[in-house]
Amino acid sequence: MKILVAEDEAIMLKTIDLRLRKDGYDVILAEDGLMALEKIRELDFDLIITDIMMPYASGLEIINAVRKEQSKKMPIIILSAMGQEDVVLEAFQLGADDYITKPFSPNELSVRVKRLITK
Amino acid sequence: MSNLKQGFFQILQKISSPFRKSGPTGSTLKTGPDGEALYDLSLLRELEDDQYLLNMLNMFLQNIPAQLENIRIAAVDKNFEKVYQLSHKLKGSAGMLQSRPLMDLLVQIERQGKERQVSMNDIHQAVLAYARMEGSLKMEKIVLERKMARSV
Repeated sequence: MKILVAEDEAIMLKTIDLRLRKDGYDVILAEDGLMALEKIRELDFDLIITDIMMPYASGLEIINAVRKEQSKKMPIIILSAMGQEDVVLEAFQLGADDYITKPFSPNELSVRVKRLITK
Repeated sequence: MSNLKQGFFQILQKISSPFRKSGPTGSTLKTGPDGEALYDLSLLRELEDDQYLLNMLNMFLQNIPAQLENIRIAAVDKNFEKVYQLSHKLKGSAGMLQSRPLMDLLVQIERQGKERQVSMNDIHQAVLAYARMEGSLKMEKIVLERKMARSV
């Protein structure tokens, strides 16, 4: 199972990467929105985890790009910050499947990923 | 108070220092002299990976002061958008340390950046909040390095 993680903050990125690799997933990392869009064009993913605020392209733009592509129906989890409830709602309207608020428990992320990826 | 009693209380104070108060090294919660929680490593310890934890401690020790300085410079330059973005990002990663004092200040500074009215005092308080935990984080790092060296 291949998961794309789009997050520009190194500590978050490493934490998510390690948690998912320990769970046995093949993890592809993108440190900004543009890189994430390129990876989405090149590869097929089983799930995408994306931050909202990133350089070059936001998480909302990524969700929009993925959902516009009819063939790509993989679940999307957004990483939101405290106080971003309005953005989370917008993300759901665009087609996100779940969200997790930073700071988060890596184990909680693991459970949420497993729940979506095995649906 | 007699010299003997004074000496006794001094010893008692040393024993109940912030570092010892929170239990043996390797515990997750560190408290300050007033009992306030400085940080909590429980989220990071969930991964049960000493190398990862060491990497994270190194990153916190490097990134947090650097980012706080970047926030300060942005505030001096009245680059409010940058203050907002930097404090927003730092809030998330510092949040993994579960440092309530630092996070609360970063939330305030983030909001101030958005409102284009930043308090230099709040930035200074954030720097102090980090300074209060820096020593303990460094100790955690040293202890972890020694533990890992022993297990090689």
